[in-house]
Amino acid sequence: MSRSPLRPWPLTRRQLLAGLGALTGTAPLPAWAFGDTTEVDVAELDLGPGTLSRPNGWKRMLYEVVQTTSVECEPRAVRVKPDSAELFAHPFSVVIGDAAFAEPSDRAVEQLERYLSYGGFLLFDDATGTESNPFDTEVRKLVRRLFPTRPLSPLPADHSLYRSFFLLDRPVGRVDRVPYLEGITVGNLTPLVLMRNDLSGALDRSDDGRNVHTVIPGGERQRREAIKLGINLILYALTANYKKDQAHVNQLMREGRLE
Amino acid sequence: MTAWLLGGALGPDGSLVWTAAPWMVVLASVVALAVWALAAVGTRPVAWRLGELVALALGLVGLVVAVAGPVWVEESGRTEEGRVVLLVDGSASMGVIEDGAPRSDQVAAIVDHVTSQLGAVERFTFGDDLSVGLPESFELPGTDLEGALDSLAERLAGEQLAGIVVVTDGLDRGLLRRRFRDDDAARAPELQGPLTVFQVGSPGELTDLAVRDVDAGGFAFIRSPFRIRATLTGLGYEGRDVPVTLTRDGAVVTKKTVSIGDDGTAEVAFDVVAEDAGRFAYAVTVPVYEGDAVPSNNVMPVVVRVVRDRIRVLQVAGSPSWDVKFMRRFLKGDPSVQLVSFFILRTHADVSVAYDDRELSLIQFPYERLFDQDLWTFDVVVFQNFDYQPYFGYQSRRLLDNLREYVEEGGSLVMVGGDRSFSMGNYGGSPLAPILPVKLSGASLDPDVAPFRPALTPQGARHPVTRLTADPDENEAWWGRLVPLDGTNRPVGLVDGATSLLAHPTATTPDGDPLPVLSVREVGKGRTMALTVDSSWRWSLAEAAEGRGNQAYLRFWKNALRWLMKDSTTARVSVDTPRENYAVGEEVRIVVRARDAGFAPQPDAEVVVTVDNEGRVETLEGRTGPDGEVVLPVEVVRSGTHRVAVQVRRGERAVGEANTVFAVTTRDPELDEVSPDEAFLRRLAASVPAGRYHPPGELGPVLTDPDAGRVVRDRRETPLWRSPGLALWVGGLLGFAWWVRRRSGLR
Repeated sequence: MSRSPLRPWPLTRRQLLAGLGALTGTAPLPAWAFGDTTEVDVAELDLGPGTLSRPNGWKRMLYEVVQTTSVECEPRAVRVKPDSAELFAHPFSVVIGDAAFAEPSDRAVEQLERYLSYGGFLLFDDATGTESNPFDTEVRKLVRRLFPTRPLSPLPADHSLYRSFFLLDRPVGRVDRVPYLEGITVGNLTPLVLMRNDLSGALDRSDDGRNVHTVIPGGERQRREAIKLGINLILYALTANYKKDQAHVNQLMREGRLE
Repeated sequence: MTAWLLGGALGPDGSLVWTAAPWMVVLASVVALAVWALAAVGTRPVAWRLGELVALALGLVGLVVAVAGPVWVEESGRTEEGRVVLLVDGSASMGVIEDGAPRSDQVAAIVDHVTSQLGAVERFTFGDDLSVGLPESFELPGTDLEGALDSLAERLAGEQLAGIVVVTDGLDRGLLRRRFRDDDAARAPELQGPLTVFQVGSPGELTDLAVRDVDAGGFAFIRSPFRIRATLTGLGYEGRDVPVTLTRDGAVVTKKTVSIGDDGTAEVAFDVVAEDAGRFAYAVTVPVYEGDAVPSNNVMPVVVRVVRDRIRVLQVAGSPSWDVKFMRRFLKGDPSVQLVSFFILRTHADVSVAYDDRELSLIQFPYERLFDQDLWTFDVVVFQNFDYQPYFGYQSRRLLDNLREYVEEGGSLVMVGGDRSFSMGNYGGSPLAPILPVKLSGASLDPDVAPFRPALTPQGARHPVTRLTADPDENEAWWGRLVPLDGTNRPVGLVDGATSLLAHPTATTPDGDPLPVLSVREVGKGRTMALTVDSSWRWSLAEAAEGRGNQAYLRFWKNALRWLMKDSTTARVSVDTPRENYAVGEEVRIVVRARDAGFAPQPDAEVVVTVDNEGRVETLEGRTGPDGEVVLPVEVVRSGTHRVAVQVRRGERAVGEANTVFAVTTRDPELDEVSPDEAFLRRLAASVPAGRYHPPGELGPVLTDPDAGRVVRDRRETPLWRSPGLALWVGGLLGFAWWVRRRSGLR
């Protein structure tokens, strides 16, 4: 198998280190993913005007995931219509928006509902950075259609999403306005999350690699925290409540990393 | 002379009884009249005619009288002295050894004493029932004194007896003793005479150490402690310490020393942990000391059915992926599974200077504890794209050897594909290579990454793991429409004895065989499964895209878990008995079920069952019916553990084998309790209008009723119809009539 032609770099740091580590026999083996759908990528849901596309932000997030974790990613963001069956090949999906968007069709809602029920993960990223705006209103209307009996509610501070890789105190993005994430929790899984601090704004960068948006009020330190949140989102989508397993909780508490 | 003519002397108080049916008399009269009328026809002198007809008439009258059956009946009566009956307990408890001799040895002296006092007595033996005569041996399986007294009353039809003598140890197993024990107002049955009870057996002379009762609660959960409680009785052992041993399948599990209490009983409890599911034969044993009254009650087996509360699964993943996520989601969602997951979230290559370790939520991978200690607590281990070398390091061989041993001893291992699995994970040549279903190259082989749709093999079409639905055609169609997978590892072949269930449609091994994608194998007591893809999650989410839900994924993995757990529903032959524990004499119904390769009921298969009771083997044979089932009953006559082995064949082809075990308690109900019950016998004697109790060794007088007696009636019958006088009368007159007729010229 050859690596995907979409991969923007010819040799990852892992491959380089693995090649060196092979000399000592202690390094992990070279990474091969079996085909396109096996590796982790991001599907941007296209809900029409009002929603945005920031593929470079997601690529950056996936790149950071590859660099920091053992997860095999395909650093790409594909644009998918909500009623397209292609959505089911990408279990991690996002909707970014800064304005009201048209209500998706019943068929699209039915498919989204099925996607989330059978293991898909959906992140709504409010790019406005304000507490109340037309995008937020539309998101809440759509979530009510998807989960009529379960309201969006703030995720508790000990939610697995805040510890899926990094230990996080608060979810910051381009702004630091809302100190919590909201989500829909079914059983002990949260398949839908609403981020209101413009995560993709903090991650986004231009083709030449420079950051597109200034991060306020924390600057680059806050951007770093946003990247950590992005990594946690991917890890949460992959491992769900793994970090709530007793072995993890006990050891983290013993080491004083959790209270 | 008269008496001779009448056939006997006829008394004056007798009466004549006609014994023939009236119709016979009528018929004889009609015939006689016809004969007489015919004789009247014919011409002859009047004197001759008159003489012939008178003689003939008198002769025929005599004949009709004879046909009527006259009998002379004389009746008289007399009164005899009342009888005494002796009832001797012939049950097995009378054979208990006391002071070196059986308790029953005391019976002869009592019988001699009674007969010397009263002369002839009528002797009976009682156990569950009543029989005439004294016991030849003391082995009857029960004691029902009330039943024996009822039988006696029926037999004597209300006759008043001069005395009833009962010789017993008082260990009545019927209702009478229980009634006396439970109800202060209980009364004895109505007796036909005064009762004298001679007790045999003395509790003071008895020593018997016994396991009286064992309770294991019926079933236990695997790896959860359960308690086996035993009650001991120790007649003559009060205040002494005795060792108690618990064994399982003949091997000692543990020992304890218990002190027999002042009341002669003791309780002992063993906390046991079963590591496997199934039926296991435990036994509680106490030593047989010299003088033990009943050595056979010193051991008691009990079979415990150990079931799983939940299947413990260890999922180890080399990195989080969609395949890992969906596997965990499935396992977490199954309430019958207790899941322990360990995912490698970061490798040496992922160490980033940008983040401090204190910022991370990572914990150390506890591989040593998992694969050294905890491994044996899991039912299934899943290696999901996991490369062991970076973590196990120099301990790789030892830890993988542990895993190999774990499988050979009954555990299950699943290896799921990916770039860290199979030969890509350097498992070729590792201690795991000999137990996997697929052969691995010593060198890392690049995967085949072309999307493909795996095809059911002929074996896969019938195997329970790949049976998504019961109908074979529908099952094949289901597999045929599943979404393609993303690529596969490349094993170099299938190990001998392994079975390929799914194969690559085009790719082949170096030998030209279809590349195995899903294969299974039985290794020692355990099982292994190899799935060479890392995209089975597509059978969940991608199937949902088509509106078909995730049933294919769930059913496949559920089937796989059941097969790995050796769930009986995934075996082609199964054997069971309705219960785990039986008593001597009970019938055990051995139920054998057989399925064909497609797991449909297998009719008309030859079934051979062997029941091994500690070396004594009994063989049963049968044939399965249309439902694939046969029930073979066997009556168990010996105590102990009974191991059942089943072989099923269809013609020359073996269908399969199965095993189970059941226990037959050594406790003979008659020997359940051996200490004589003096209180019962005293109360019995006191509760009847006339009763007397004699303790053991006391040969006191038998209580009798001098007024009891019975009227005996004599009846004497003299059958006149066959008397010589009547025969002479008939013969003489008819002969004379014939002679006159001939003399008068007629014929």
